[in-house]
Amino acid sequence: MTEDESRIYITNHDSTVAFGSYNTFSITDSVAVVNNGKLEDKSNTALDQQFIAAIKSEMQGRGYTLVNKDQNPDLGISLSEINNTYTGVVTYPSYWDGYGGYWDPYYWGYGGYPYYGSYTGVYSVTDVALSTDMFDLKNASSTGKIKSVWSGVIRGSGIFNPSNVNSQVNALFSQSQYIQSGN
Amino acid sequence: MKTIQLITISVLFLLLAGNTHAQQGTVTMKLNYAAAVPLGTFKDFVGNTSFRGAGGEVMYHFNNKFSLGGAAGYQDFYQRYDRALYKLNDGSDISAVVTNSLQTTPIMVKAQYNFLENSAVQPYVALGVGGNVVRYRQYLGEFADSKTSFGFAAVPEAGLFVPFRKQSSAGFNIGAAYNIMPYNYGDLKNLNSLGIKAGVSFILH
Repeated sequence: MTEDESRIYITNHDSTVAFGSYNTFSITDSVAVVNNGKLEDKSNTALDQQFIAAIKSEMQGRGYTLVNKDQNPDLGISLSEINNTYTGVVTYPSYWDGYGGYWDPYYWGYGGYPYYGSYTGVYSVTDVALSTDMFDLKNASSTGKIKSVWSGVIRGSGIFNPSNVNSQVNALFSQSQYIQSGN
Repeated sequence: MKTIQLITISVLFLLLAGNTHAQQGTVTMKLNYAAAVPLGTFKDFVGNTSFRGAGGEVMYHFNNKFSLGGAAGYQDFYQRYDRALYKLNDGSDISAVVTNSLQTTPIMVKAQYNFLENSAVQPYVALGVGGNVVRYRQYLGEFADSKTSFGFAAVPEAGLFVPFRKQSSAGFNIGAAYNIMPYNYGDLKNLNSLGIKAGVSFILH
């Protein structure tokens, strides 16, 4: 089995959300490194920037406009690298449980707001994965919460090989055709 | 199950009807190669015919028509599918290269009845009934879901036996079998397959 064949791409979304109702987005400037359920670091390597750039490009290709996080983006996108080094099984919900600690809502200008929703829940993790999550910031003020509207997870071998970054991010978006701006 | 009942009744009837004792007390061992074509829901799991199988049996011959003994087999089913998008129960979409791998190891009590016992080519019917060790593995990419379990197996079989010499219990055989293996895991409802066997038997005792 090749590294390419070893990788799986999991996406999920809130099916009640109309992605055409959002026009702008912002993305975190670094990647949260989550080791065994705890935020270890915010990483900003060339590879991290490559992932961020790939997501920006996919989102712009779907008609969304990139703005700074202080310009009231409709959508916020974060990236997390999940490492589980101990023996045993960790599920994505437990990754999600600590989410506010990995990406403080304050980052988006919504300090104190709880995150809610989580859509890639079923997979056990005992290794390394890259997870990206998309949030509705447009309605955060009116609902008092930051709702997860989409998530994508990449697992398998060769995830952090720079030559695989673009094709991996493209795979997540290719299977999520519903992400389309009304622009 | 009707097929099994019919064959069981036929075999018992023929046993009672048998009246020749030429090979009484002979014990033979048979080794055979086996291929199997998955059927039903099993075919959706592994569409490929398995050419990796073998079996063996030790039979006690009450006469040169009827024999009874034990049989064991092994069949290896495998298929890798090109990358595709699958919908999971929780609504998520997963893109993966799916590899399905399944091995069956039936261990059964077996009865066989040969027709035309004095002829150079003897048709036979047989029935094996017993347990089945099943090893199931489904890989999504490099991530495996595996399960080993024990189930039931019934294998009605029909074929031709060609003795090395007249009235010998040793010889060649070819046959077709219907491997009935109930199973319930994932989308699989059974592991039924059509088996093709070719082997040789020789006298142990």
